[in-house]
Amino acid sequence: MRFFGEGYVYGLRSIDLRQADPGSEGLQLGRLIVPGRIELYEQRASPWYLAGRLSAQESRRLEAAGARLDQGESSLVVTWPERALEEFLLIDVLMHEVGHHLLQHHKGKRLARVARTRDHESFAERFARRCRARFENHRELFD
Amino acid sequence: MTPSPTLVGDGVENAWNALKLQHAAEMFGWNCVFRDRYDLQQDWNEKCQAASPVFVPLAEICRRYRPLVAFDNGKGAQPLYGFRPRHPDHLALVVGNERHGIASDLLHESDHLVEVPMVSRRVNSLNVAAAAAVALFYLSKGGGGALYTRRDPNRSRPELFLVGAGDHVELGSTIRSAAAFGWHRAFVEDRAEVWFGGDRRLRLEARGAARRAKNAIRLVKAVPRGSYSFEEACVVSVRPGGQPLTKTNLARGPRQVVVLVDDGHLDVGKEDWGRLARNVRFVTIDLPPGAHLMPHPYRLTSTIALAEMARQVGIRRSKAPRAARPPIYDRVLATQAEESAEIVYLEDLRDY
Repeated sequence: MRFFGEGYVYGLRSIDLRQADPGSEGLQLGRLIVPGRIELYEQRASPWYLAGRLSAQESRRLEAAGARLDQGESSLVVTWPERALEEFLLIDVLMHEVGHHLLQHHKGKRLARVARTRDHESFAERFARRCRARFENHRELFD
Repeated sequence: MTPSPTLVGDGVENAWNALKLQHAAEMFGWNCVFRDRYDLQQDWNEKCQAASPVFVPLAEICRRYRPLVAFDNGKGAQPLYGFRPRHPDHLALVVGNERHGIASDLLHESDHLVEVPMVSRRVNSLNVAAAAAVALFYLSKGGGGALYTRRDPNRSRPELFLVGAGDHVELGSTIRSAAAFGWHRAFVEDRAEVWFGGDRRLRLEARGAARRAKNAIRLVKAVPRGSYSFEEACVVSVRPGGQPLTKTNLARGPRQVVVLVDDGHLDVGKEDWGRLARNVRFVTIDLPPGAHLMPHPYRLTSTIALAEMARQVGIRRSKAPRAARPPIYDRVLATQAEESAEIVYLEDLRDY
């Protein structure tokens, strides 16, 4: 978080690493609970075997993060080289949730939705993409 | 001379309803006056042989009676159950027009606004005379007990058995009251064939009185003098000698059947009620002394009983409001199903 700057963590109360809810649908990656509580979920080691297929948009996101996707007949194998999974969680997932937090926090710290879910998601995704680009440009500073 | 409380019919337009209002007032020893807003006098002259009702203008009502208790469903109305007005001797209970209720000018002058809590959303009002009888019953008793609240009121709701009705409109109004108080089913022993028999005109009038277009209550045709196996039957009538209505448990659930008898057409003492249940209990609608000597319209006595049953059955306990959930944003990797899936039948699966 120091890499991105103090402004991004303003108002954040906690970032917790925890196990995913076993009853949840899909693979849980992260969650923002307003106000300012981010949960990152523990992930299985590479490779991931997923039933079914991912949407084109989601596949592009994973590939942009460095994952290799092998679509089988009924399952998808996602392979993460070396540190790609860690970076995916720290940059794409965490900063996506920070994006949600910033939008929510910026609009008056209210315990209510400040934008439509679709707009909220789109802002968080754009924010995560910008963070990813900045990270790629200054990867040496990150270590 | 001891002043007696008064029932005021504000803008009642149907002469038959006005007649029943007079009867309701007479049952409880109240006076009855009307404020004519919809040509009641003319309708009365056309339909009724009885002496013309007393008409009183608004200013006179406001001057003569205090407190004025408006009896109408409306915002801010308090439940009739447990309502105890001060100085009940000069009290006037105001009931309104069949369709439009009490006029705003009289409503504005009223000291209290009370209502009978309704359960049904579709049939959410009673016949004006039946409603007045319920109000007079509770006001004469000094308010009665408060409305019960339960986790699941329908588990306490007894079965309903309507027997011996001799008039189609009276039975129709009773069916309307039953639906308004939340009953979804009623047994009807139609000995005089005023509901299931009769000609088309009578059937239409009966169904109109029951608001059948909106009233979805299921009516089960009971075989005359047929046998049933309920655990307890409570036979409700105005005949003295039974347990008082308000002191009888009428909320024992479906194992109990409450029998509403039309006293004017059926002699309660000569019936074999053991055919309905193992235990039979006689319940008396506790009217003022002497009131049981004259026959009363079925809609009045049955609606009083239904109102007391509804009070004991109660309403659902309201849940505490939940705290608003904060917004939560999830990032989930969701997979989609394959487009071309293979269908495996159970017998094939066993062979695997």
